[in-house]
Formats: sequence, C-alpha cells, structure tokens
Amino acid sequence: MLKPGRHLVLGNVACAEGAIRAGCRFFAGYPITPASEISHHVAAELPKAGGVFLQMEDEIASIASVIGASWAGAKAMTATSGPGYSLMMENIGYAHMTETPLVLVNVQRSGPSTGQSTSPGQQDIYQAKYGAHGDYEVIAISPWSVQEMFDLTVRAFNLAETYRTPVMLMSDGLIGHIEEKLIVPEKVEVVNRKKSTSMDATPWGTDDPSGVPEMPAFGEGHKLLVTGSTHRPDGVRNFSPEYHQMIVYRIRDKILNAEPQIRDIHKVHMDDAKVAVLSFGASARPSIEAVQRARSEGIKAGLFRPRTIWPFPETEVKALAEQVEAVIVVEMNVGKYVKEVERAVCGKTKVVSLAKVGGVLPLAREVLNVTRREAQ
Amino acid sequence: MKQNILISGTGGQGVVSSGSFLSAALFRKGYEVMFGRSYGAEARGGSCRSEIMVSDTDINDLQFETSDILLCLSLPAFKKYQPLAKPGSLIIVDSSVLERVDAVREDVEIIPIPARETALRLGNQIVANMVMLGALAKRSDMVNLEYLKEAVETSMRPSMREINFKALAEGHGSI
Repeated sequence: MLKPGRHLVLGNVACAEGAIRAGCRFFAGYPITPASEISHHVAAELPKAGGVFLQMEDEIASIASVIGASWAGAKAMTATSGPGYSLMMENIGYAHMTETPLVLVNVQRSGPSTGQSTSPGQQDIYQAKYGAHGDYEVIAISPWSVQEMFDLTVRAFNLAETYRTPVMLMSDGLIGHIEEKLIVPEKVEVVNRKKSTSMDATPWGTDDPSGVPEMPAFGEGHKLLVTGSTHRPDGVRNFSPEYHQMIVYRIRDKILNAEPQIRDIHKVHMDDAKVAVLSFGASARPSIEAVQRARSEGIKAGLFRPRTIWPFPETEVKALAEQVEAVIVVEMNVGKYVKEVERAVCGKTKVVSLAKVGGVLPLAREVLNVTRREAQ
Repeated sequence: MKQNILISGTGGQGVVSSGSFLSAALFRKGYEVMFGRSYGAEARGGSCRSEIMVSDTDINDLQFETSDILLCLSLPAFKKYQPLAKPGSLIIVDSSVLERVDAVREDVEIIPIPARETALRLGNQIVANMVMLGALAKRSDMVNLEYLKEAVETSMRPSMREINFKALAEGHGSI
C-alpha cells in the first residue's frame, strides 16, 4: 500500500489503493486490457490487508463470486472492460434485484466487440444504466484523473453500502493508463452497510423512508433466502403483481429519491457562464482546457462536469438550461449523454453535440472552436 | 513552462521503462507530470511510445498532439512519429536508425547519437534508452542530468547502477 503523501501512479493503481482503503476485502476478476492493473495491484496488496483476491475463469464467475462475497458480509469488487462488462450483465441484473452492494469498475475501451482493444472510449455509459434486463436505477461515477480514480472508488464503495446497490465506476482506458499525481490522504471516510438488527429482519422490505432495507449476511444465524425471482420482503418467491411492483419501484426510488445526496457535479467558471461545456471523465480534460482558453479570450464559458453520471442530474441540467445560451456536450462515443441532456433541457436552450469515436480524445481546440462559435 | 517529451521505439527496447524512469525523476523534483504509454495489441515487436508531459503548473489536457522533444530508438518508430514533432522542435535519434532513413523533415532539428552502439560497447544494449535520456538532459530545459543520476541511485538495483550512470554520461557527452 502507498503511504500517505504525493505519488506518481497509474490510474488503475490509484483505483486499487482507494478500494482497499474503502474497506474492500474481496476481489474477483479476469484479466482484460485496459483494466488488468487493478487486478495486479489488488492481488499484491489485498491479502496483506486481510482480504481475498481470486482470479476467476471468466467475467461471469467474477461478478457471481463478488455477489456471493457481499452476501457473506464483505465489501467486494471486480474490474473489467467492455467485453467482460457485457458478459457480466445478467448477474448485474441479479445484483440489482437482490440489492447487493458491490463496486464494478469498467475501464472502458473502444468497442463494439474487441474494437480498439487498447484505446479508450466512453461508449458503455448506457450499458451501465440499461445493460441488464428489467427495470432498475443505477449509480454510475466517472473519474477524470488519477486522483479521482482513488477518491471516487472510495465514494463508490460508500454509495454501494449506503444504498445497498451495485455502483459502476465508469473509468476509461486513458485515465486508467496514465500516471499522474495522487495525494494519498491520511484517512478516508468509510461508510458501512446497515446490518440487520434482529433475526426477524426483512432483507427486502423496510419502513425506512430511504427505502434501503437492513442487510443480513450468511453465517450470522438468519434464515436467508436470496433470489433473483420476484420475492416478498422476507425473500420468499412470490410472482404477484403487487410484490413485483413493490420491489421494482422501491429499488428505483431508493436511488432516484436520493439523487440530491448522490449528485456530485464539478463546476468551473459556471457562475456567470453563457456557454456551458458539459463533459465527464477523460473528455472533460480537454474541455476544461478549452474553457480556460475561452475565458482568456473573454468568452463567458464554464465547465459542468457530473462526477455522478447516473442518476442523471435532472434538476441541475434543467437549471443550466435557464442560465446558458448553449450547452456543448463533449464525450467519446457517437453522442449518447447528449440525448439525456436534450431530454432534460426540453428545447429551453441550444444543445450541441461534440462526440468523437476512434479511441482518441476530443481536442481542446475542437472544443474551443465550438465554444467560440456558440458564444457569438 | 510545459514540455512534451515523446520516447518511441519497438516493444522490448525499454521505451515504457525509460518513460516511467524519466517521469518519476521529474515528479520527484516537484514537477507536475502526465505519463502515458501507447502500444498495439502485441507487447513485443510492435511500435510503442511513452508520452511525458512535464509542467510547473497543473496539466489539464491529456491529448499528446505534438512533441517538443522526440526520442527515436527504431526505424518504424521514427517513420511513425516524425510527423508529431512540432516545427522547430528537436528529434534525437539513434545514429544507426538515421542511416536507414530516406526522408527527414527540414523544419526540425535532428540530432543522431550512437545510442545502441554505445550501449553495446558498455556491455548491454538494454541501456540504449538511458544513452538517449542522457542526451535529452543536455538539451531539455526541464530534464537535468543530476535528476537522472539521483533516480538511478534510488530506483535501480546496485548491480545495474554503474552501467546506467555510464550510459547517461555517454549520452550527455555525445551532443
């Protein structure tokens, strides 16, 4: 483990360091570029912290064992990239239905399929939200630096534990594979799940307004049934419309109702901005460069960067539409997040898409050119 | 001040390890550093590169568009990365590579140094990358020979220090 202080490390290493400090004690994974260094570092360091690292036979087994470990009481995680993420989808749905806290890191590469296997992308952001079948809400986080690979991995665990839900850390092959400054703090804030307080607990039902039930663990004496089938609050299978509606709305609303607490938006020069550059993850780096160059030219540009990309920051984006004359959405895909922005903005301001595929970042001067045009 | 340094060569020539070594040396001196590496699906034999941005202020943009100093250890890398050199910038290339080049750019300064030959003379061709870094230290405003020597002292095992010190010194003296 790195000592507190200033280090030059790989984004993927920072992620692994953050995970162990957040209390991760089980990791199962299967190697894939550009995520493998997370496994490498966890394999070296987690056993020293009293945890377990397992290399599994594939990604399906990896996510399955992470779910099992979480039900055994451990904070658990896995890390993969696009092809592995696709394989995990069925069990991600299972994790949502069983309300299993876990952290899944997707160091996104340029797809579809094998695609540009060593190049970055941001093309899986819808997959994070909609990849598994059925209805659910997801928390997905997008780090833009090595520091945030650490900080937001810690937060991903805290959110998973708070809301008893899978959390997606949607990094990319650029942030995962660069080395830059990481300041390791002396201490990180750690949240632990609400454990069952009685043997009669209902692990899938609660009167608590948060909608987050207490969670028992195997081996603690509970009669515990965990099933992906529609179930009653006590876990017994029951396919009635009432129970299905109850569980689906609760697992949706426990996330949507908490959106103001989950929401994390980094804003730069937004107070008096007339043009907003909305971006996340690696593509927000040329975006901030462009915003600063625009400011030096006297253009009132600002950066609006959701660190939590899901749940979508609906009220914030609606407010943005009232403030600015244009929102430029910069992303590394064919133009996905922009569709959510258009939906929320609802025609109240101009929305411009600056989307790029090919495994390369949008360039700062490209963002600047669009910013200049929209400021006129 | 900000400088983009690109180290290029063929997988196995120590392109990534010298990038990592240089980045760590600069970072220890308090600079902001962004170190990226790029490679094909194959680990050995394909072109690869280390991208180092070094700055005395925060580094926002991560896209390495053009180089201020380009180091080339192989012919395919020279051909591939020569276009990334900024007009008026510097390319330091292994002499044996330059001998086999048909077309060189007129708008950049190209300095050949006998990196591979020197490394072989010192007894291990693996230190050709360190000969290049020694030469880089002579011409870069931000890389300093003393930093590199300190980094050898702190990061390399004792048996490898002597040859690396010599490689750095020979590279430094070759310009």
